[in-house]
Amino acid sequence: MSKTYRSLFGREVRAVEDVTLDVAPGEVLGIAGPNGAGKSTIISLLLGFLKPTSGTLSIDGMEPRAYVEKFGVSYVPELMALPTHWTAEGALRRLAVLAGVPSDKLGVEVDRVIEMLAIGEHRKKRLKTLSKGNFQRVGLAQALLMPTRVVIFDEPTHGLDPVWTQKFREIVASLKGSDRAIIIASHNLDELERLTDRVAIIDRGKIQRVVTVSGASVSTLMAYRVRVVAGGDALTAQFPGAVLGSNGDLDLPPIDVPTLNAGLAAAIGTGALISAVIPRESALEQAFHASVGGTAQ
Amino acid sequence: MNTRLLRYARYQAPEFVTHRLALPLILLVFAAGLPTYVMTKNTPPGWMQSPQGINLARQMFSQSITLFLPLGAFVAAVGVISADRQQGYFRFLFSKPINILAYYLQTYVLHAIIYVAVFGLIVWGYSAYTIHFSVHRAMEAAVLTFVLIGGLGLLFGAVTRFDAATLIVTYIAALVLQQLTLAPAHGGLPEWLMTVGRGLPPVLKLDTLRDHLYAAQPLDSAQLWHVLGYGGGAAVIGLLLLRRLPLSR
Repeated sequence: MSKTYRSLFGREVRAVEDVTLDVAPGEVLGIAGPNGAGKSTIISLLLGFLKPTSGTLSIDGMEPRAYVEKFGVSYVPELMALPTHWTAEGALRRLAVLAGVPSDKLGVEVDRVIEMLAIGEHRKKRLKTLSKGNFQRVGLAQALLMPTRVVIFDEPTHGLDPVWTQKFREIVASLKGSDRAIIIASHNLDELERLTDRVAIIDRGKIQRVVTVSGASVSTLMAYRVRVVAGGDALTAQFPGAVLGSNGDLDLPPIDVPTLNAGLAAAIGTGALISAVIPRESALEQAFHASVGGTAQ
Repeated sequence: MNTRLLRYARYQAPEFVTHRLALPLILLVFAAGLPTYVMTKNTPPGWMQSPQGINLARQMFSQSITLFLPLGAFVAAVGVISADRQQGYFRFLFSKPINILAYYLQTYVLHAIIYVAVFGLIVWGYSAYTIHFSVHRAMEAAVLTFVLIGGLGLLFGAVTRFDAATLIVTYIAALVLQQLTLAPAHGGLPEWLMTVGRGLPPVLKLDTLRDHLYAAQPLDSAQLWHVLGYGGGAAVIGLLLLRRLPLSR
């Protein structure tokens, strides 16, 4: 599918170009890309808020808007926008009604998500008085009011503190199910690496590559940092191109796992002492940087 | 229309009164409520039924009470769709399993019902303090006003985020051009401008219909259908465009 914005004066901006993606039930797909890459446009297309200029999208065989209007989607947008004179609880009650929570379960379900996101002390506060993080938690809470088969998070941890970022990961883990497709758009590669099965890297409206997160380590070339206690010379001899940092750490060039192990074994055999080996970049980060190059922000 | 939406009306209704109708109601209290109170307190019993009293009550009705109609319809009709779009509320509302057209149709119908009922209450209250005014006919006038202004509000809301400004400009342009058309020698208007005036919303006909309703005179059916057709048509086109145009821009 493609999406081109046209101004009244005929100026065209290609937001999404020839994107082909599929997400299976039970899968968590990440969408990574720099600002303006087209992530949010793809999500708007998926929710039927935009129509593609060419190509097609479908959810479970249905046109996106028709699907959403029939079944609903658990969605946390990038920008939290609700009338700020609503209270946190009032907002959740309203959205629970629209989500189809039955009247007799409304209070219970609202209480459940309030407890899950620990916003009990803020429930009577107007949204305009909430901090960004608490507002974001209300946004997450409303997405969890009803079980849906499609979950879409757009920069979900934006504004969350580290504790809630971790809790968000737990929530996503609890949402994973064989019948549910989860899509997470994020700048945060570490987060995507922890949460997703595959990550589509998008730049300038195009999918640059799709990385399978779980299977990315053995044969992939990765750069490592080796914390050396003694015998740095033995290590540099094994790894041509390695750079010794001022703190004594040795930065290895990109190598695969067998080469890394062989070099380390040889260096240790000649007296090197090593306290840690840390990937300088994950496979996803490498793929991301290779794909988007200098456009990443 | 599904039950989710109908249940949601219990949140929409009070919000419409407190966040939209409150302003015209407060203005009405100052423009008509206080003068009426002072007038009834400072005149001898029965004076209001005298020819002077009746004249004064009618004058106040036409000059103050009826101001609520265009003002109330305006605040009920604009900023409904455009605010959801501009502020991004639609992302939360329409990720839920609800039909966009049904949602906005319900919103406008709910606004119309409350607006008409509130105007009926205002007229009923004014009648109780002054002289008899037909609540029934006043509510009919409110229905006509809302059909035209509400229909235009829905249409403009569907196509532009500047729906309020567009509605005001359209209303005033229509009023001026249509008044000039009635002036001797058509106020010197060129033919093309008269054609434009005739194509704009029939606001002058709406005024005439309202005056006839207040005066319990029969309505001109051609004028009535022009107003109803124009407002209803605008609403239908607005709904069709809402279905066709993307929510996100």
